[in-house]
Amino acid sequence: MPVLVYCVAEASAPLNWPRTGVGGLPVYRVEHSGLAVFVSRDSTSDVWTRPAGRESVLEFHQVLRQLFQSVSILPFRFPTILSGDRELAAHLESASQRYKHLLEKYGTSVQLEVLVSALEKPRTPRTESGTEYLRTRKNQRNEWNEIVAGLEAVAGSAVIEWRVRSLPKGVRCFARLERDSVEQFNAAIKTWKLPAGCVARGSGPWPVTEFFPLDQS
Amino acid sequence: MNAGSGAVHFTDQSGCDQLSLVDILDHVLNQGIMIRGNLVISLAGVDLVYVGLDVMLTSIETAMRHLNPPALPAKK
Amino acid sequence: MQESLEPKPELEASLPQSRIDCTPDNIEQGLAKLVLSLMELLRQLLERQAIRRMEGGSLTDQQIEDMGQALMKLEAKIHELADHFSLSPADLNLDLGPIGHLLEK
Repeated sequence: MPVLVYCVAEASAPLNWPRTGVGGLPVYRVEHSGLAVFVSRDSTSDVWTRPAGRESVLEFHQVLRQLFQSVSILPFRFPTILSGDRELAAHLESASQRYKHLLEKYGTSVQLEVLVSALEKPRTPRTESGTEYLRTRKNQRNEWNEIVAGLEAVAGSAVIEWRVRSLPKGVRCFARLERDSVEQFNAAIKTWKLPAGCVARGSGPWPVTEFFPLDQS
Repeated sequence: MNAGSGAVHFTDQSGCDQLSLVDILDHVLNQGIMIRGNLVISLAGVDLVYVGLDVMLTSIETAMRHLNPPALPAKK
Repeated sequence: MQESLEPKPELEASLPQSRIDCTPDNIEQGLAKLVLSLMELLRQLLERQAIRRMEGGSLTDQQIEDMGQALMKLEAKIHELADHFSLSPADLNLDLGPIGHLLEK
């Protein structure tokens, strides 16, 4: 019977998990290899594989959010569907070392995100010169690097680690910090002076998905 | 110091207003562990081709980290 | 609750995270989306590297000029192709799994 996987947590973590998930189906807690994985089951997987409507996504998110309020979790992307409990067990067995390692390493961390974007379209360099083109591109990147450096300086020691991704119109900054540093971060951010022509939007806390190493088991 | 109208607005993860919906969608659909990174090309509703992206994306991500290390210019 | 002992054939592979859905009428566009997304990814990678090499100081002026020309033309070509297939810049952000993170919205 198809299994939808929400997330993995340490088996030892005490928790009250949400009993209802996507499509109103029950959420089960399955223990394996020292891990607790949260799943739903359905005789078909239709309710999870129809185009990800707003409701399914929000229902999935609510399950994760409720768990994440009290424990460290490794969320799975939606929808991650396995063919049954057997495949689930097999996967957990092969991945348990990695998952345990991640849960331990990032146990008390959370992720906050700041998206900084330019209000205007980036100027596409209008030039015949390849050199000019590269210089303009370089300057644009440097401008963003400075903005990010400013953000990082303001956030200061609250943040353990940063990751930054370039976007066409800005940057997306991910900060990893201890759960109990979030207040400090929020207070610090209030003092950040945004450069003219930019807007910023924050979100979080999230599980530290951006900081997971990419090697898949 | 004045953060002014450009103040960073932190969306509450629990809120389902327009702003946080975008974030929630991105996190739920794009972040999180993927057991197998596959792309499917289907034609008229029939799945035809699986493109396994694991190896390629691991290599590129590693390359990206080397080319563009996440650490910013050193703080003074 | 009865669990099937054999996994259903269509579920043997883990369900994909991304799907390009084509119909006979739009198959070109679907494939173009994939190809152009990859091209855009490569363009960004190349641009980053080119800038680094330029800053590194070990290239001649002509090499820098040639690299810049190539990248400029590549960017224009990608836009042109996207237009041709009626794809917007946002369409070039196909979710390729974690690769998609390298191309952001």
